[in-house]
Amino acid sequence: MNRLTLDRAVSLLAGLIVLAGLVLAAPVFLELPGETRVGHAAFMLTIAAGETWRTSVVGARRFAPVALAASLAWAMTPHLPGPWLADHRGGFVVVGTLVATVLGMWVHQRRTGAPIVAREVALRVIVVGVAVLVYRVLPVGGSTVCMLVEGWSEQRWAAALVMVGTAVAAMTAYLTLGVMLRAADHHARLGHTLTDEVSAVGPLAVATTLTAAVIAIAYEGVGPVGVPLFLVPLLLLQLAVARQSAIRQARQQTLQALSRLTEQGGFTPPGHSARVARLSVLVGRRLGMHERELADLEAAALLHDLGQVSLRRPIPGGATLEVSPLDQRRIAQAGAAILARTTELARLAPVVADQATPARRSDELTATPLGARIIKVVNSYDDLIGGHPDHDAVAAALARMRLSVGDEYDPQVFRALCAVLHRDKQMSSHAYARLDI
Amino acid sequence: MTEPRTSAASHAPSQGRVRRGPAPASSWLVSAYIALLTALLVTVAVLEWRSGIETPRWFVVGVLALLGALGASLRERELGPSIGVSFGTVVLAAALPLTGPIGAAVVGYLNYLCAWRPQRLRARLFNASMSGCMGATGGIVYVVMGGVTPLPAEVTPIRLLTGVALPLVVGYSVMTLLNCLLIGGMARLVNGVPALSAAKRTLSSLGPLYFTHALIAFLFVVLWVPAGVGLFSVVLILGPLLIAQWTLSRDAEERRSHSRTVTTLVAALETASPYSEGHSGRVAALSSRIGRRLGITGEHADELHFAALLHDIGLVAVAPRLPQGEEQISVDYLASIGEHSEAGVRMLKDIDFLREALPGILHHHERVDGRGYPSGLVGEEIPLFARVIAVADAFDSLTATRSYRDPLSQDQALAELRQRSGTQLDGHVVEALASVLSERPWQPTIIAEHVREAHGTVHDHDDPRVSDLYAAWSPHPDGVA
Repeated sequence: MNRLTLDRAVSLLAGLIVLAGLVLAAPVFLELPGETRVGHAAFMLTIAAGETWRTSVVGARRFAPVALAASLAWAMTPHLPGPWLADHRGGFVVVGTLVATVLGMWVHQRRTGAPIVAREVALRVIVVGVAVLVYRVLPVGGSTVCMLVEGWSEQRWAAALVMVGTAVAAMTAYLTLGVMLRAADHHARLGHTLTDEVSAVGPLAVATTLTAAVIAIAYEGVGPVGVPLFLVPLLLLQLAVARQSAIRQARQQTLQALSRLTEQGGFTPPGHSARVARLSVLVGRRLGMHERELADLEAAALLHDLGQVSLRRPIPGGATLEVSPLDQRRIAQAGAAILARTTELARLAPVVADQATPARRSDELTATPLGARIIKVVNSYDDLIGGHPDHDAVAAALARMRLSVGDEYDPQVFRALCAVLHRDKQMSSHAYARLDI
Repeated sequence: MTEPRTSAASHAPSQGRVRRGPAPASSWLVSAYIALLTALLVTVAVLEWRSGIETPRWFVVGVLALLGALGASLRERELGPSIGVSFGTVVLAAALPLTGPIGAAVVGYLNYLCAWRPQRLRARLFNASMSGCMGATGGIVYVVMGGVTPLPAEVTPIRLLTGVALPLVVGYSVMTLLNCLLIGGMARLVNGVPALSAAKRTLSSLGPLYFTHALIAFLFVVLWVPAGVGLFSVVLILGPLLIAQWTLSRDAEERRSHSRTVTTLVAALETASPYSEGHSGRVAALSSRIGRRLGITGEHADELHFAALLHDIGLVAVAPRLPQGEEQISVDYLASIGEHSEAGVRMLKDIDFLREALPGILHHHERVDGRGYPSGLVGEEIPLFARVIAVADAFDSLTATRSYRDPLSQDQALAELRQRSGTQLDGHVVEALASVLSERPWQPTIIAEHVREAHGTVHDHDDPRVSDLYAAWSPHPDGVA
């Protein structure tokens, strides 16, 4: 689905949920019993605080486990104000979560400058909306899940299990919508995005649902103090995840610095490796590569010219396209040899080694890795346009490369490159049609 | 629980056996120590039993022992300080209120006895008996402090606080102290270090976050009994904790692999010249040793290590411009080489974890007399990291074969550095180097004669001679007469 339509649909859904919540909860707001105020304040404060201290998980995802757990727990807590039916009180939680979330994001914005994203607010409303719907609104055997569970005073474990189930349903809706939006953002395939998302935030999401159930269960015995108290295991997990993403960021930055090594030495033009890496990832995603493979592709593209460091004198202008095929291969081999010495980057070595291999050789011998074929095409493209992607330069470069497609360049990769450039408005439809691919 | 990080039980005795041949007295003493602990544990448990304390609910003991064994199997040993999350510790602490002293002793003993991981029998027995003693002692302290065990289903919040939370915290603290003391005792037997100082070191390595274990154990207990969730609370509370521990162990692995990657890549870039091969790695090792002597620890030690490793990375940028094959060092050479530290910083400036290390890289060729490069800083103005790297750098250059001279011995090189204390180098850092070298001597780096002949004259910018030439060439700094 188109990204804009999807964004609008999400906002619309969230808006409807909030509207329903407001209408249903209006009588509750008028008569908020004094003894429940502390409890609601505890939930709202925790949500706001969790929102200000959100982590960034691998791959620029933003996930606020503490705020999510607190809002899900709130939706499942038995003691809500008012003598009305359960559904009225659910509306109260939806509106309260919205207020607390926006407040927390506002504080976060003041502190770090990260803007409030309407989409995230909408997703938060939807996740709580689903939990409220399942737990308090949908009729089950003449009553609601909430009413049923409150009767099981002897089997609290079963109550906890039902709460976990509710939280899992809400979290699934949250992740599914998130995956759809993400896939639309990156022009990626839905299935791939789903598996990538699950491996990236899966453990954190599981812990979040468990904690939500714990807080809701413990609230009866311990009261409002239980809200922050029972979040401690989740906080520890969040700390661990933050550390992990810090080291991954360090790894990423190290690779980027290494890619600048050749630029500083005058071996390659400024920004060349970074541009090749960025465009290679777009092309690789278009060809259906997974996020993990894309991370390797990006690293290999960043380091593809590392072998030039072993040259005694820089190539004028630094473009590998202008070098004899023999030297190109020597540079590729030298770079691969450097990488092969490390345990972590050794798996990039074959990609770097084959970056100069022409497409025709790929069929004759064994198949060169897809990553190597992508880097070969994108590298030549960047050498030709030299960082000035105006429409004429792009069209001229592609027209020149078109002559060697099948011989030098992999046709499938070349088509993907053209499609990406056309999609991102770097070349006109007219020029795209004229390439005739 | 924490295990001997000084590798007392798990590594050192076995190393003694494998590498240096048997060391009978020490080995015998270690076995006696373990036997003593086990005997103590059994005695306490039997005494408790006969004093009429209620027998624990064996079902709960079994569940906790299983969980603890799972935690002990997953234990990651090489986490940085103050972040360790130990599943097993939480289970042992929760055993105090849930099962009482006897149960806690059994849980503690079985945890480490049944841990699923490769381990020598003696290390396993030591860990098990230590953990059993901790459980027994913690349990007794818990009861003495007025702790309720086993917990009744109906408890008021106040009673939860005074009858469970408070005794649990005290019992947990005593348990942790005992843990450190017993490890100290083992360190004394195996490595001959004073027991108390080893115990203190272990305690300080735990960090303030270690107390969250007691809190989580309390939450676990509350959910199990008063909230009535029972066995299912294992999933609810310990699930997130288990995920956290797993994440941290992966994090530790990634941290190590990152450090390995940087080391190898730097080494690979050096292979261009036989004279630079291995230089960065050696300077990093020396700098780390000096840094430890100067009291640089924790994250700062990591930063110093990375700074030293990457201190010459800027050479890649200036190398193409260096005049080659000259007999004498020319002004051209000095002018080009003078830019390499800034070039290095330009390459590394966007790496967040190196931010603190950058000044060390930028100023590693400053001289305390103010005539170095790039900024001409004087004395204490030069960052400490840079002064440390400068000493290690010069020392490694002197003790390696250069095209124009043979390597100096350790003592000759040290004498040379001492002469330069106060002009080029910081005397304080030079003495720190001398002190670490007196513990473990340094092997000069020798390059074969035929390699030397094949490469002709190659100047080394780290040679103190070059620093002097630079100082003579650079204008006199203001303010220094």
